[in-house]
Amino acid sequence: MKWYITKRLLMLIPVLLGVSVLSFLLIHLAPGDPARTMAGEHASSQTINAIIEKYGLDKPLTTQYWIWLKRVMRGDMGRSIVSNEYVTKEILDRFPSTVELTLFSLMIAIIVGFFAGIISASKQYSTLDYTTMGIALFGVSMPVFWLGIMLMMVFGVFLRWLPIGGRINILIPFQRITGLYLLDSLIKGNFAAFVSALRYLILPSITLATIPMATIARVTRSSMLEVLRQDYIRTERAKGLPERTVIYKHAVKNAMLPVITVIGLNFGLLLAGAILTETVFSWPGMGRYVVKAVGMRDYPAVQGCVLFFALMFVVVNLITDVLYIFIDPRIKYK
Amino acid sequence: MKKLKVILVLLVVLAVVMSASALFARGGKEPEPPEEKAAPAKTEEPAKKAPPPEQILIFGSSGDAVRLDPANVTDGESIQRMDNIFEGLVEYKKGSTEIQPALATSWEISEDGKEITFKLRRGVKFHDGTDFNADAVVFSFARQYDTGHPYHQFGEWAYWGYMFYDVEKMEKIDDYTVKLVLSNVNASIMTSLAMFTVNIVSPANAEKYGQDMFKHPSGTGPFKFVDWVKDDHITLEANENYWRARPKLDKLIFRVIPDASARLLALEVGEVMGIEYPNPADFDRIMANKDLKLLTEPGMNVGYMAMNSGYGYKDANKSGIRDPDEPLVKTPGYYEPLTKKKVRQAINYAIDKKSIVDNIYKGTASVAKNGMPPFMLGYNDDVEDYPYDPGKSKQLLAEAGYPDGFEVTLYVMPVSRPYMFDPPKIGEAIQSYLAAVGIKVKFYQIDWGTYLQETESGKHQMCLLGWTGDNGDPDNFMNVLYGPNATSIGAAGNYGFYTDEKAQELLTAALQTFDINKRAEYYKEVQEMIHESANWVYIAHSNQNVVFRTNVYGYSLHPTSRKFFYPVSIK
Amino acid sequence: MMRRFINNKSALFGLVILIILILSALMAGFIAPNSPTPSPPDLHNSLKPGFWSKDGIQGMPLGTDALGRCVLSRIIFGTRVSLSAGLVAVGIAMILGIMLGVIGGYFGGWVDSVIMRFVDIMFAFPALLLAIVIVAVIGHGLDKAMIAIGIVYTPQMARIIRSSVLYIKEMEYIEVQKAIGSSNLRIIFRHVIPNSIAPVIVYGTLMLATAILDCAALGFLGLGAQPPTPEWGAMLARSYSYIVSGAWWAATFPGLAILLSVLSLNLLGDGLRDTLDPRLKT
Repeated sequence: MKWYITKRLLMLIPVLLGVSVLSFLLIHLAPGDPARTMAGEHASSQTINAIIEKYGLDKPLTTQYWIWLKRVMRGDMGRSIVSNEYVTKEILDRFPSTVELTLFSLMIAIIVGFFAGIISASKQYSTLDYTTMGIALFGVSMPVFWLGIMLMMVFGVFLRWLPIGGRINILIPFQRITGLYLLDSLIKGNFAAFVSALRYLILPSITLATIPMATIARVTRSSMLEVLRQDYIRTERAKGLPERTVIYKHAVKNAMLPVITVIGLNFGLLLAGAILTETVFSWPGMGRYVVKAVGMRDYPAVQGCVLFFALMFVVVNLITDVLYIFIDPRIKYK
Repeated sequence: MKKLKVILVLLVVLAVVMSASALFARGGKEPEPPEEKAAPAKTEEPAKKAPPPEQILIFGSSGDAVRLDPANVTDGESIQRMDNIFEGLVEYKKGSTEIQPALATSWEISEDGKEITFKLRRGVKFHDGTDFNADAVVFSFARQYDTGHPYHQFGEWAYWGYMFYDVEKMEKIDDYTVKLVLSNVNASIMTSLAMFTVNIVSPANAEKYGQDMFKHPSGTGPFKFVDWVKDDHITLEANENYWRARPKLDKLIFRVIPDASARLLALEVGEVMGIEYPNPADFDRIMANKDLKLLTEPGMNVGYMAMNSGYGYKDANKSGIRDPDEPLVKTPGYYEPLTKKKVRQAINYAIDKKSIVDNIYKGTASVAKNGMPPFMLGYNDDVEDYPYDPGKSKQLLAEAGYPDGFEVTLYVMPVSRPYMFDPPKIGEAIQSYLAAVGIKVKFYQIDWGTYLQETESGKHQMCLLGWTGDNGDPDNFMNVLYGPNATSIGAAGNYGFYTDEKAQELLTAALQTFDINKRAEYYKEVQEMIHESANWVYIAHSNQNVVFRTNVYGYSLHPTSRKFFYPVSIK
Repeated sequence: MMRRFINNKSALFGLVILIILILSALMAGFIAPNSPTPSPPDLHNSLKPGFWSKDGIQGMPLGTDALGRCVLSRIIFGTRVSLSAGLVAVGIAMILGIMLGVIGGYFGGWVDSVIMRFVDIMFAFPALLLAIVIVAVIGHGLDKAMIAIGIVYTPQMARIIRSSVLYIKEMEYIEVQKAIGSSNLRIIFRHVIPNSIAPVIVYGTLMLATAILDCAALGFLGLGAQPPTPEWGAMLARSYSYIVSGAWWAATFPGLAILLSVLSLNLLGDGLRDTLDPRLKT
């Protein structure tokens, strides 16, 4: 197992290098002179020279890459053209809210999707099965931004049940600790803040959860069906074990493997979805920031976001792969 | 089942790791201000002695501030925050562009009009506790114009270039006296001094934060900066040591809600108490709501479409004036059809401005026929606007040699401004009006910074733009926007590249004339000339609109669209 | 095989919707009751409701948008824009993906390793983010958006093709071809590509669905189609702020159109997969 993880970690190196090269090249691929791009349109020649000096822009590309990589390793991704703030700071300021949104959505997606899939599979060809799978099919075909707008329209504008933008009612006294508002309010035992944060979180997270939820439901169902066809399940049924035990004690864990993969892969979709969801719901996270940065041609910021998103994605895939070992006996025993 | 548990555990671990990294993210590495005054945890238990409830005003803004250094921003959102943190030597009177003393108690203008000596207010302290004095004033000015100043490198100082190019230097006479020295006489300098650009910042604070000063503002104004949650909100609190009476509001929070309808909803449910830029389509809904009040008045602005008539000049010596040795040259956006007056007039005839104002602005603006708002000195009401007449338009196009029309590129602003609501929509309307007379319009959209840069360089064929007055002086419209001296390629303000030398003579004469009636006559004549040349399609003068809940009192609109919350209270 | 497909009701349903969409794209000019871009504009018709309302505007069944244009007509013309944008994007992905996948799969060795590492790297970026970034570099516009999405989808296509090429390569008839001295190029074009086409069709269809979604998403973010092009995502983006003013239709229907077309392609793609490649049956 150690060997597997080591191998998996080693495989990361070329990917990470590639990712960093692509992010690095971004500023050079962007139209215009890199120094001017980084300094911003209004910069004086003094500033531009200082940047050329600092980043070694007059040196060969490979040297520049090396200098850049060393800086990035230290967490310095340069300053945003627009705000003049460190890009790392800008990203870290917004990171917690994206984490809260994606984690909460992922949780909804896993819980609802997984159980919908299991129920569907255990009642194959029933009306319930068809309905669930029909909804799931709609789910995977859903334009995220439209779904968000529709939810906003129904629950925010017409019914007035839930707020349609922001993270918390600012009037409620609240102290930020981690930046994950649900967690922060729990730590402080601040019930009012918790409820408020939850209310703000519901619509965006349902929006964001829909596609992964539908995918998870579909995959769970097919992998459950696969498992239920296996001999040992038939044997168990023949032995007269109650259906409930058969399904929940034996089938589920074996059906989990492909589902885990899908969750890992879906994380990318989730991050992409976060870009749209945050835009629709004015959620102050990284997704909205990257769209804003692209709109303002803030290339250092775009570069930072791209790198950061890719890193998150890579790490999550690593985690899913490691999860694999814990549940797939074949890898374990090899 | 065991494995299920393992997975659950791992998921929890994942959650914890991510939250931990988030925590790390919050534990900033840079010099945070040492304050972080104990968060008001008291509200958690019901207050026993029932002190008067805190007056907190949350204002819904359309965007986040970019930076919080008054001299180093150009966007309304940043200015909105800073107008409540900083003050200048003089300030505008409530609701007008006349000035009154602020940090200066009095001033004296020399005979030749080139030196102004200010007496400074004593006993005023910056939010960081240091004294306001002559050094602070000199610092705030010098860092903008003195290229050798140690803090000059930290900013772009854009507005200084637009408005204060006549300033030679600011000198300290004694601790509470300073002298402003001008290189040219400038009749509008006093009103310009009430602009945010020349607000006074704390030198000690600048020294403390250096390049990062933009996120740690410290001024003398009624509110102090508390914290800034990016893209979410900025909190200010009452300045207990304000040199006037303490503001009635305890806290002033600017919350970012980019979408106009989301802003309105937040206002309706009371999550914010005021909003800017309501969507004109929502006005009926606002009026019907008894809990809301709409403040509206004609804005000091104009929104237009400029047509690049082809020629500007290269301002080699950066004088801002077209000298005899600086000949007219083609602008990068030179486009044959637009150099012809008949074509430009045809375009004016082809657009139904009234319909745009009625249906897109929903009546929250008035149709414009001149380049400045009607209430300003020298407005020429005798100018007869081009009526909507597609037939006449086609005829003019044919006369100009384009019976089948042509294709043209229109720069469309990516952002709403106070002078133009939803430019893409207006651009689309113009696009389809012009299609009716055979002119095919291609959209060109780019980020706002680049947009300004490219239009200043005359790269556009046609562009949407506009102007909100800074100081209430007609020169601030006529000369800045239409003066032939403002056709300098790279720094143009005259985006129609209207280059009639006679117009410049009249405008220059007007600036040097103190007789109001005579001055007005000059401006009127220029408006007549511009109308004939038709380099602009003036679309509308937008009203400025702010909506508050009815229990918010004391707010008054300012013609420059700046927002001052000092007098506001909640009942 | 055909029978199996026809028996798949949901796939057939998808096909029917798709055909309707294609027909309306081809004959938009005949079907649409109004011009999608009337000139001069009827601004006074701004945001009028459609058939469901007493005050509904005559001749515009789905109401009008903020510029007084017929929403239905714009959606019909939008079919043309969205379907062709999706097709071009997938086309680009197919051409590039087939090239990379076939070269990698067929020749193997270091060529394959290099290609697959590159594909791995591309996979490290969320698709939409990568598309946004490419658009940021090459510029806005529908054409640029199509290219960006095509590039982003290439690695996925390359992987699919590669794996089926690996499978085909081991077939006996390929060995035979090699033995009789056929050139690699000939083998690739005459045997490998034609035989790996089934998964390309299946995944191409499913990919078309996501391509339409992503194109709409870019349009929604203002990075795709430019006005007055009636693109669904852009239509939505420009009208959702009117929902609060009561004009829900201008944003609702374009979204439904996206949903419907993506749904039909997903149904069809699932059906094709079950038919052409029963091993993958879900």
